[in-house]
Amino acid sequence: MLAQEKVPGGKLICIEAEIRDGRIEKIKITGDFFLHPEDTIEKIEHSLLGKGLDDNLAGSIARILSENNAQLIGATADDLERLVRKAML
Amino acid sequence: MNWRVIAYRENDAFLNMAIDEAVSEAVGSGESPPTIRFYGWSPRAVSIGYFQSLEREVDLGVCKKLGVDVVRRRTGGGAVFHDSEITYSIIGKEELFPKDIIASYREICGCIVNALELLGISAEFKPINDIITGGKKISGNAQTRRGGVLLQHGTVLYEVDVDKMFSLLKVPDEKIKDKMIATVKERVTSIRQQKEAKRQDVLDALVSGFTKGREYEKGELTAKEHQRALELAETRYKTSEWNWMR
Repeated sequence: MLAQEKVPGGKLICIEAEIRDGRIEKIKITGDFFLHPEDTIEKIEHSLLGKGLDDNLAGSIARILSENNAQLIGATADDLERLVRKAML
Repeated sequence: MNWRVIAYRENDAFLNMAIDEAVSEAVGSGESPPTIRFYGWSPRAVSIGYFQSLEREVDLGVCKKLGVDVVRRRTGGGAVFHDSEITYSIIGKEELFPKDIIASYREICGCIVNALELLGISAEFKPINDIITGGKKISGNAQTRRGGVLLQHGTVLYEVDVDKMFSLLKVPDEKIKDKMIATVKERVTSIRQQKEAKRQDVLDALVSGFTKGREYEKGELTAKEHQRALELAETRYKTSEWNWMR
C-alpha cells in the first residue's frame, strides 16, 4: 500500500509497504526530504520490518535516529509513523 | 588555508556528480583546500534527490527522446531539470560551517543572496533550502555531510521553462498536472524574468558572492581528483544500481 504526504512546512514523504498478517513485510521510504547521514534510511526501514499497528513506530524510528546521531530534515519521526500507519490500512 | 575557486565548466551529469564527490574525498583527506566550483550540464539533465524514487519522479521515455540524462545525487531534496541555470558546489570540512544544518544552509545561501543583490535582485533565504525573490523560488540547494566534509550544491535559475520541466517529471496525480504546472509557474522565477543580466554577469556576481570575506585562489581540479571523478562516474553515477537504488 502507498501513502504520501507533503508535510506542512516540510517535505514530501512517500511510504510503500507490503503487509502480511498485520505486520510490515517490506517497506520503502522515499521523498524529497533530507536525512544526515543518508544511509540511516535503510536502518529505519529495517527497524520497521515485522512491526504492526500496535507497535510504537515513532519510538523505534527516533531510537534509530538517535543511535546513528542522525538528523531528519523536512519531517519528524511522528510524521513517518503517521504515514506508515496510513500505508498499513 | 585559502579557498580554491574552480571556474564554470560544463560536463555531463555523471561527471558533474562524480567531481563533487571526488573533491569531497580530497578535501576530507586534507589533500585539497576547501573548494567552490561553478558548473553547467551538457547534455541537459534531470537530477533526483538521494531518497527519491526514480520510477515515480522521472519520465525516462521523454528524457531519452529529448537526450536528457538522468542521475541520482548524493544529496537529498527534489528533482531538478538542469537546463538554463548555473550550478555551484561548495565543499569544505564541517568545522568551516555552522554545526546546525539550517544555519549552514542560511550562511551558504547568503552568498547567493549577496550575488543576486549585486545583480539588483532582492532575495532571501527560505528554509529549508530555497532562495526566493518576491515570494518566488529562484534557487534550490541541497547539502550532505559525510566523513567530516560538508558538500552543498545548488542551482540558480537563469531562465526557466516550466512546461518543458513537467514534460520530463512525473507528478503524483496526472489529473491535476495542469493545475500543478500553473501553480509552479506562479511560484518559480528566474534571473531573466527579474533582470536583463547576461550569463557571464551572473557568474561574476556568484564568484563575488561566494568569495566575499574568504581568502581564495583560482584553481583547477588536481589530476588525482579528475582521475577519481572519471572512475566514480563509471562505477557509481552511470550505474543502474545507483540510479535505481530507490
